[in-house]
This record gives sequence, structure tokens and C-alpha cells, in this order.
Amino acid sequence: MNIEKLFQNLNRHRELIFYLFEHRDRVIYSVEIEEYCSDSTLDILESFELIELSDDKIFLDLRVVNFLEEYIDGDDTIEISGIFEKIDGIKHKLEILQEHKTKHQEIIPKIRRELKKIDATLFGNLDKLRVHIDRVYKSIDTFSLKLKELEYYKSRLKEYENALNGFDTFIRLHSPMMKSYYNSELNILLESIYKNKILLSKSLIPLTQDVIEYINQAQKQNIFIEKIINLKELKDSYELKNRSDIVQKAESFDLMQESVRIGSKLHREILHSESFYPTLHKISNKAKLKSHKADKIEFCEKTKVQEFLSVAEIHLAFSSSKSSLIEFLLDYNKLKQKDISEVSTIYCKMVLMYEDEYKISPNLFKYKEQKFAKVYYDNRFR
Amino acid sequence: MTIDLDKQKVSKIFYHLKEGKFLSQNSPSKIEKNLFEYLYRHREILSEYFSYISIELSVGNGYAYFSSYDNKEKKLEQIYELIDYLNFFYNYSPMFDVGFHFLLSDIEEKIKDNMTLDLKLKKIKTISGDTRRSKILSLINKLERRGFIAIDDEYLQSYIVLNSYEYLLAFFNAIEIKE
Repeated sequence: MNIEKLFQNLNRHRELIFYLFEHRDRVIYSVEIEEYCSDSTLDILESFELIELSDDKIFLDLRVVNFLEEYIDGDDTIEISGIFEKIDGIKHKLEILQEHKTKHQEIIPKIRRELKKIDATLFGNLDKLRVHIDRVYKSIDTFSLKLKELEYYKSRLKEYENALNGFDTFIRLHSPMMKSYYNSELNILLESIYKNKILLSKSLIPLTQDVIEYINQAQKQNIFIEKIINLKELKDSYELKNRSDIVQKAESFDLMQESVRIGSKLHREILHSESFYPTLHKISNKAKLKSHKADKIEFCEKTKVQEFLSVAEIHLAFSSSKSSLIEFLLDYNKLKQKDISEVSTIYCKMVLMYEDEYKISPNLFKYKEQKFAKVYYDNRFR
Repeated sequence: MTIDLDKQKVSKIFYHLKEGKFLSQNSPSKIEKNLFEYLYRHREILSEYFSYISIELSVGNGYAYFSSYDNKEKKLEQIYELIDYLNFFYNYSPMFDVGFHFLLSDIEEKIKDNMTLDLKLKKIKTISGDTRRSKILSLINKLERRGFIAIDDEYLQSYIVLNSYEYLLAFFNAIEIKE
């Protein structure tokens, strides 16, 4: 095959090739690609083995697909088993090299290329495994399917680990021999592979832990969902209390049913307003307890006795007297020390209160330039 | 007590928990997250502190709440409500668990295509609302009010399941069903 013509064809029909590559996961019919090329063009491309024709279906040649996928790293499939084949291939080349040492310039570049491929495959596949595992855990809703997928990736991880260990053993056993050819590029590559191997082994541990954790979580979640479904069925059929220990378990259900109440004389609206707490906080910070000291009180040394005068009592005493009211009052023991103004007040009160029982005479009684009508108790009431 | 507590933080913790809500470590609210971290650092002192006012502080794996054994008669009622809610959410997505994100609009869309889910929503008697959307919102609010979920993005109306949900996982896991 002429490589130049191959590239020319690829370039000339790049739109068609691109379309076929983009839709490589499904069957493409000739009607779909009418706008890109004619039937004769398809025949030319088939002759160059760039496409395959089967009735009205068109397929991009697998080598082109593989080349492009490898180039853009767009292939999602995890290829681990190929590593052992590549290791076997290198072993075979080393055996030839041992017998035909003169061929080292031809064989060593091939060995380097294969070693690089294995290294890149190990790196690429670990990334792909990480993406696949996360995707499976997060996107698959059906638990049985999710568990199956996770178990599959767990086995792929084991396979990967074996491949990594196999490659490690191979390097350890054959690196002295490979180094004996004093090929600097090969030696640098071997150093880099050794470092990468440590990195890959370290990355493999958390990924394996993750997949085990995902499986455990999925199993746990699956059991929990089944339990909720069972509880719901029993609840709806009013059998939950009899067929489970929910009543006893409810004793340990300690979530608060009501909010904590705080006793306060403040109105609820004030207590629940947004500004209440900051205001209270502000005030409480500034507030100081006000304490007043009591003033000194001087107590009188002599006991002061308050005398209460009962008008009724005086009236009773007066009812048995024959003297006039004013004379009686001036002579009354409890009033003897009193000022005339106080006596006259009591005199007036008594006249007003007991007017019906008293007789008021036209005669007057003079006392300290004051004149009082002479009032007597009426004998009819005695 | 040898450490001086931050009065402002302690009162904020109290005012949050006293409503029967949780404080979760994975809350989208920075304030709540900080309060939980403060509470977790001083959990022993705070437990003692709240015990003086007869309140029991419980701290779980990434969450805290005030526990109470009062109102026993209401407990079963609430547990039954929660069974209905969880049953609905697991039908919506079996991935419903701590850290799970969901959108209100996504539930709405799923209900449109899933008659069973629609029926389950209609059968929940403890939620209000006339429309499908308002019913979903009422259901979400029920869990949000208790602090099991929190709004993550108000514009998108996206929610996150908080660490406090582990309380329900532990509780329902402990229930034994007789064969």
C-alpha cells in the first residue's frame, strides 16, 4: 500500500472518515453518508482498506479506529490481558538478543517501544478504572446491577494488580541483562518505569479500598431500602406494631417533639423578632446592676404615741352629761391639751352628725374670744 | 468548667437546637458548619452546661441535637410520617443518603413520568399543597425543618442530605421485623 496515497485519501475524505469514527459504536447506512461521497468513492476507500462495505452498511476499518482511538485516547475499554502478551514478546526478543548480540541495534529500540507501551497501558488503565468505578457507583440506580458491576471492577482491579506485579517481576529479573547493553535511553526508561511502578502501586491501594467501600455501601443501602419498603407495607396494613418491635424502639427515639420553652414575661412577638437577640445582647453587655444605698434614718428616741379621737366615743360620753357640748369638750380629758381650733372642729362634727339627738339653745358660750352655741343632749334619747 | 465559652456562639447553638433541629457538619450554611465545629470541640463542656437547664445534648457522627424523651404518644406518629417520607425519597432515587444532592425540578420531572411516585406523593397525608410542586415543597420542608436536609442553591432549588440523616438510618436499621 502506498502510504502517500493512503494519506491523500484520508485527507480528501476526512469528513466521511470523521463521521464514521464519531458513530463507530453503531451501524451506519449508506443513506446517511450520501452528502459526503458517491458510491464510486466508497469503492476506492474500500480498495484502500479504509472502510468495509456490507450490503448497505458501512464500517470504518478496525485499524483506523484503533489508531485514532489510541491517538486521542478515546477508547474506554480496559485492556489488561494484553500486558502479559507484550511481556512475553519482550522476553522472546531478549532471548534472541542473547543469542544474536550483534542485532542489539535493531532489537533494543523495539524493546524500548514495547516497554513504553506497557508503562502507558498501566497508567491509562488505572485512570480508566477510576473513572469507570466512580461512574458505576454514582449513576446506576438499580442496586443489584450496581453490585454486579462493582464486583466486576473489583475482579478487574485484581487482574490489574497481577499485571502490575508481573511487569514488576519481569523488570527486576531482566533489568540487569538489559542494562548490560549500555543503552542510555533504555536505562533511563527502566529508571522511569521503576518510579512509575511505585506510583501505580500506591494509587492502586486507595482505588481498591474505594471499590470495596462502594460495594459495602451499596449492600448496606440496599438492605436499608428494603427495610423501609417493608416498614411502609406493614404500616399501611396496620401490622407494624404487631410484627415489629417499633413500639419498644420508639422509646429510644429521642428527637424533640416540641421546642424548648423559655419562661419570660416579654411578649412572644418581641421574643421571636429578629432584633430581639442583638438588642438583648447589646443591653446585657452594657448593663450594670444599679445598687442604691439606703439613706440613714434617724429614729426618735422617745416613743411617739399617736392618739386617735373617736367622735362616737365622745358622743357616748356626752350623752350622759348634763353640761353643754362645748363645756363638755373643753373639760374632756383627751381634749384638755388640745388647741381650741381642734376642739371647735370636733364640736362642729358632732353637731352635724348627731343633730337629731341634740338641742341647740339660743344662749352662747364665750371662750377665748370665740362664741359657741350651747348644745345639750336631748333628754328624750336618754 | 475551666474553659471560657464564647457566649454568642453558645446562645446561637442553643437557639438553633432548641427548635428540635440538628446541627450538621456538612451543612451548606457556613454559620451552621462553624457552630457544629465549635460545638464538637467543646462537646463535653457544653453537655455539662446544658445539663444545668435540664437539656441533654447528643452528639453523633457529624451531627448534634437536643434529645428529649417527652411526648411519647407523639413519637410513633412522627416515626410513621418519616417512613412515608423516606419511602417516597427512595422511590425517587435509591441513592438518597448522606451527601446526596437533588433538585426540586428533578423530583417534579420524575413524578411526571412515574405514576407510582405520583401516587406515593398523593398518599402522604401529612403534607399540604394543592399542586404537585407545592406538595413536593411541603414534603421537602418537613425534612428541612428538622435539619435532615438543607437547601444548597436557592436559585436552582437544589438540596443536600445532611449528616443528621444518619440518625434515621441508625434508628430504622435497629427495628426488627418479625418473620
